[in-house]
Amino acid sequence: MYVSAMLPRELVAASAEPLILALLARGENYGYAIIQELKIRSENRLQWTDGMLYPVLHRMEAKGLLKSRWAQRGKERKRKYYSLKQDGRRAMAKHHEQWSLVHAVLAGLRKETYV
Amino acid sequence: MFNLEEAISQWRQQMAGGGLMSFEALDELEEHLRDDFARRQATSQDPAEAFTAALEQLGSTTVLNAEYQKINSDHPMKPIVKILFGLGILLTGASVVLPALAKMQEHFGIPMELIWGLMGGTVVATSGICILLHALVFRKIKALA
Repeated sequence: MYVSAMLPRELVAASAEPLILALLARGENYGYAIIQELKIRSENRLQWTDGMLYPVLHRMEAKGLLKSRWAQRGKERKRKYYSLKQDGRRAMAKHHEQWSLVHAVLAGLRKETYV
Repeated sequence: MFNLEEAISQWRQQMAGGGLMSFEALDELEEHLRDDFARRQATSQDPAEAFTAALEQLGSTTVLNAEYQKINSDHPMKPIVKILFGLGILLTGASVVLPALAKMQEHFGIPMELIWGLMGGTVVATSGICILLHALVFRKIKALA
């Protein structure tokens, strides 16, 4: 999923689905824009081999989390836009709950270490 | 002199040759390649270098094809496709066997009871073939995973 990530391979792979879901919750988008947004937001610490995003998107679509359509906006080229389905919103909420739990446990332990 | 359309056409041929046969998947990757090439060109990178860098960032043909094939093996057949697959085989079998039975009845005066029996047998046999084919297809796909 990445070439030489600042974040470990496993973490980048595990966070792909929740990040894509959270990004698409803001509105439909296409692959290149999704990758650029994630790079900017992570200050380039989330490094992907770009093409690997698409199998992830297709897998999420097959799971019923996303839907897609080819569309042309203004003078731009025709692109495949992805958006969330109801199951995608539910999956996003579940991911959020799970990642928040991990974060809370980790933050609590860290706090205790430094007290 | 670098020619973008020619370079993209060559890349598509390599991808298709590597097993990625879906035109839609290729179109989507091509759009990505064009976007990345345009972004790199905007920072006044040499066109040939920009294309090579965009290709590298997109990922190698082998790795991408392997990843796309994994998706196909994850979802080999949806239930509706299975039903249509079975129906298709049944109808194909029926379209061959039924006219043959009708001709036999007409020419040889075979009793209708026997015809109905043969038809029932045909349906059962075709269903068996369908199940067998289905199992073979699944094993084949799983073997690729």
